[in-house]
Amino acid sequence: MTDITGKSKVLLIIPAYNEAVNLPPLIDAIAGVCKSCVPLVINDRSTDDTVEVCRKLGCKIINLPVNLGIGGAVQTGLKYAQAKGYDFAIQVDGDGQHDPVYIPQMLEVLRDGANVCIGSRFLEFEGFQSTGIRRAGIKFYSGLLKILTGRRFTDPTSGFRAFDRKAIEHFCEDYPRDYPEPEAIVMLHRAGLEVVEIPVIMKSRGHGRSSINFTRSVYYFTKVTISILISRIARRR
Amino acid sequence: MERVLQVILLIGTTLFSVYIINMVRTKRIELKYTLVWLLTCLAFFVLALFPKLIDSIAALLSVKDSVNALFLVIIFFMLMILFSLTASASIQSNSIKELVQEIGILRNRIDELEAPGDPGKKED
Repeated sequence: MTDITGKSKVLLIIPAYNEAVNLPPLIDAIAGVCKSCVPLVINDRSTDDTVEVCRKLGCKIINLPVNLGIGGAVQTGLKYAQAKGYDFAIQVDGDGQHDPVYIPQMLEVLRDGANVCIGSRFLEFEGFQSTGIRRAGIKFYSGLLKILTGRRFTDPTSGFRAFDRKAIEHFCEDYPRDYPEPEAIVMLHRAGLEVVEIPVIMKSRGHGRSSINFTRSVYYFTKVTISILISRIARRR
Repeated sequence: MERVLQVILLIGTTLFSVYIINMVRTKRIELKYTLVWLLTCLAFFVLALFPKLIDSIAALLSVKDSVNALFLVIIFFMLMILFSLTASASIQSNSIKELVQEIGILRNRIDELEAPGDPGKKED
């Protein structure tokens, strides 16, 4: 395996809430693709044995004493990356949906000058395409973002993202708390940072259930829509 | 406004203000969070002293019974207090997030310092 990270330090941020079953295959897959990438599990106060599993795998772990939700967990990883001087940070969800195979390609995109690279399911329409109603939601956000930013993002809810140093610093300052992905795109656009999508194939999640049910999806829809609209007019930092 | 209601309002707001100020004096409450309560007390003290004011508010809003106008004013202040609580809960939630992240990162650092050569080792 050639060293795809080169001289740069790459951190893989793995937000995990009760992902003890899904973590070992993920960490294995990462080791197979990118030996010099450093996986860091952000344990968002799991109630299963995520901690023990990480110890057995010998992988870095940050245990949050209080459950912060995905946004808070990812931002913790970004703050770690900033403090430790990492050049790139890649968010890989702990549920096994994101295939580390794409990491080298994402790094390539960042080296070519993009600040953020998003893995999109809908550039080539392959693999797990999510359920109908969610696809409709994704289409809606894609359209809304087109209006607000003038650019087409085919998969604005994808959490498979790579950040360069500039983007890491930007999001250390401010990152949305829950369901952060679409809003984060608006923030990047307003900060003048370059976002590039690459096609990826996502699997349906490994074990366990997704955290999104009906009530939550109503909340998701309302919250994300309003936050996107407000972040478009938010005060610049 | 009824004389009895007037007297109750006067005594109530005075006692409550004294109570709040005493709590601030003995550092059992932050002055910052009492301001909206003190303002409420002052407003009702003034309304009780000059009951004509509530009649004018009632006339202005076409409320038949001026006691209902008083309720309206009370609700207005209650909403104001509720909103100030929401605002402070939001600020606190953000501070807690920052602290939790800092603690998580620091604990990770401590673990690594205590177990050199084994960065994955966990605490306790």
